[in-house]
Amino acid sequence: MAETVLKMKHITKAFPGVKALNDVCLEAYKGEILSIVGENGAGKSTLMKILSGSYACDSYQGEIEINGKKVQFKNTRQSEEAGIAMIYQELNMHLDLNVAENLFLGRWGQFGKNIQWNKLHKAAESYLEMVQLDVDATEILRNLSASKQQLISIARALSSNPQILILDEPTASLTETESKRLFEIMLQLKEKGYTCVLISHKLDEVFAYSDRIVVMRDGCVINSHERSEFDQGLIISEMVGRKMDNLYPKEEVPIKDEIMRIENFSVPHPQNARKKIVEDVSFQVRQGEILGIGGLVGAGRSELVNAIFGIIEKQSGNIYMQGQKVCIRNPEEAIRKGIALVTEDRKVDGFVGGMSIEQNITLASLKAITEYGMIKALKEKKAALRYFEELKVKAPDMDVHLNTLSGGNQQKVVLSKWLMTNPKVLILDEPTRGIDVGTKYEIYKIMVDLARQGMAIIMISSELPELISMSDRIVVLSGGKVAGEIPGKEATQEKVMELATGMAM
Amino acid sequence: MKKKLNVNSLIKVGPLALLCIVTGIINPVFFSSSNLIDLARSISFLLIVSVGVTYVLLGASLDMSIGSVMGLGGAICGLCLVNDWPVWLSIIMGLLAAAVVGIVNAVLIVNCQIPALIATLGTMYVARGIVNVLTKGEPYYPLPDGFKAIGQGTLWSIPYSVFIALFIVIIGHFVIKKTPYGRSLMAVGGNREASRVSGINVKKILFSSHVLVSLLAGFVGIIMAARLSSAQPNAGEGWEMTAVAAVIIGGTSMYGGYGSVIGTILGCALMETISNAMVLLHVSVYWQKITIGVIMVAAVGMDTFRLKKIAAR
Repeated sequence: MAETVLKMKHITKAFPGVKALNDVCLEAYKGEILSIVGENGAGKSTLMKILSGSYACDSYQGEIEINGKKVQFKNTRQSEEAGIAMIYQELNMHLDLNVAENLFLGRWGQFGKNIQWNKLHKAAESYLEMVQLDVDATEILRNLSASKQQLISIARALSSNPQILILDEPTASLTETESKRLFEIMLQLKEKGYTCVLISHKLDEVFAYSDRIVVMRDGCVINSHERSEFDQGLIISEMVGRKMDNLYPKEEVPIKDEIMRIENFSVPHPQNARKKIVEDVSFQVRQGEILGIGGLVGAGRSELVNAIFGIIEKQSGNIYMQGQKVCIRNPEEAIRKGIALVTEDRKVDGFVGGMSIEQNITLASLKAITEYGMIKALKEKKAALRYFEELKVKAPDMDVHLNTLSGGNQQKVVLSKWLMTNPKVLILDEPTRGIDVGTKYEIYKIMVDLARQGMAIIMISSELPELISMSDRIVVLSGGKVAGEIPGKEATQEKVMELATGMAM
Repeated sequence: MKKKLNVNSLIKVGPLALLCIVTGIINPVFFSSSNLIDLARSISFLLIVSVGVTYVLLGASLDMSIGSVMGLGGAICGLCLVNDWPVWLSIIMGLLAAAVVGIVNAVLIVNCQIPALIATLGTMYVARGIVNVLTKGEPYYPLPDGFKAIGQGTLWSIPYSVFIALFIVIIGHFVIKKTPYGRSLMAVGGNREASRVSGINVKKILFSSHVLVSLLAGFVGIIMAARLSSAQPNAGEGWEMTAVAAVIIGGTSMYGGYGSVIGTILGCALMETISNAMVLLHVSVYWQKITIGVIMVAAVGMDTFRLKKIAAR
């Protein structure tokens, strides 16, 4: 066994009302990729926040040892000095500074009182090389793609000379190919002796690249698996605390009449009015059907559905609901025509964090609970409670604010809100992003149930297994155009990627 | 949940009660009926406009022009009155002038998407400028007795304005708590994008809140002119800060989506009691501005701290 770099001993951390971590022990060895998996709320992030110093050492019980020496972090800087670098889920860099400036943000001082830019740029280049990124060190960050920005955040972490890299959902906003590249770089870092701690909901990545998997549940470490003994079924059942035979509860339901048809949709590019981000897209969806929309990030998938829903302006194109041409200029009209949209980033435009579960569920259907110009409290409670129970939102009661819920439960509330509008067509944009396995399964179940009731569902997904397993039919977009259509039964990851990238693989 | 609410309101009532008691002990005049009536009147003036400010802040917007709008409402009304227009028509003209500023604010903020602070600072100057151009710096007077009664008349020796303020508070509270409009306003303030996606007409909501605050400000300006028997060109100067501070002390968030009209009552009571107490305790008026500034920053600081605590969970 390689030498132990990190030892966390008997860590217990309590928040008011809950024990987030209960006597957790964790070890990491030199030169390994250690994955920590578990449902949302299992305590992974809390554990990493303790390690990175976000939670000061006096706010929990337990000890941390690095290279056999006991350490106590009062803040993130001390943790960084001890050789721990954290790469956060959300990028926290300055988009309007250039690459080199971002790499050494907060540490420009080491390049002299009057910053010697040449030195800084040279140093930056050496770290960019480590992550095999071919960009100019003076390039402004905003001009780079999401995946390049992610690599730069890794380069920045490396520049603080760490022993341990913590990656929290590093591939959440990356496409399949970009993720692959990121992991190749992680494998190389591992060869160089870095220890990588990975937190990810994407289990296929975890299984493909980890040397060891630690399963957490309800604030406890359940088990640790060596690479030689990975067993997907066992690990998932340990995560959710019950046996799960099938990740995707897809069922065949009768597919009936066409309900919505989109013809020749074009949407202007948000940054460049002369370019189109969606170009001449047509498709239709039928009752009981789950239509998947595949494609790379930037292929125009979200823009397409946002334009259908009236959130952004389209350039041209028609929408037909049950054969009738309809005009949709804003979300209000879309809702009235029987369309619902669960948007891509629920934090940005999915829910109101400072409002209660009840108020969020009824937000898109205020008219239905209003009589004589007043909201009827009882009617509202009854309507909201129905979805609260049906979708099994985990919360003490409906007065809880959305801010305090986990991602999966927030998503259930957002879904409740849209189901309450009684839609004929439900559009889901990355419905399971950042959501734990158990809740994912529940959301798939809900989708199948809705399809059986005759709803038409359109699902955008970057997770290929999900897209392929849940869809009856997949439309693949590439560069804003329809690259092809695949019946669900014939779909494979290769076929989708082939169309999405526009090349044979 | 219920328990927490009680503690919160206690925290707000506590300092107010303490202030009253201390002031009353040092200077018993504080508890004299004439002082209490004066205090109630000044609270009611501030309260009427602060209900509007509460709406604007709940929608995560801001209005710095209300002080000038008060001046404008009073001046236009006074101008009509000295030209022998009927009282009712003069009042309507004053309100109309105020509404126009509100509409301009709304167009700038909602349609042109100019930051609310800058847009309303601009209209604050323009509106005050118009008042100065019209009045040439001289107050409009004398005003007819029928008009003065609005500001000076009493019922059971309580000024009319107190009843008017109570009426506006009740309506304001009811609309926030019970109507789709109020709910939508809270949602827009909490998350504008999510509200838009949920089918709420965000522009309409914000537009109306800006017009409302201007109308209420113009209305207070008119009552103030009636109270003083003259429309003063500098009426309402500095009120924007007092009102915003009162609303924030009352627990409404600078960042929108959180707060209540009931809290605003407490905030207004506290602000006016402080300035009343300072007079009675013979503190120089020059200290009043310092006090308001400090209170305002402290209140916003507490609000920010509250949000940070939520985010840290």
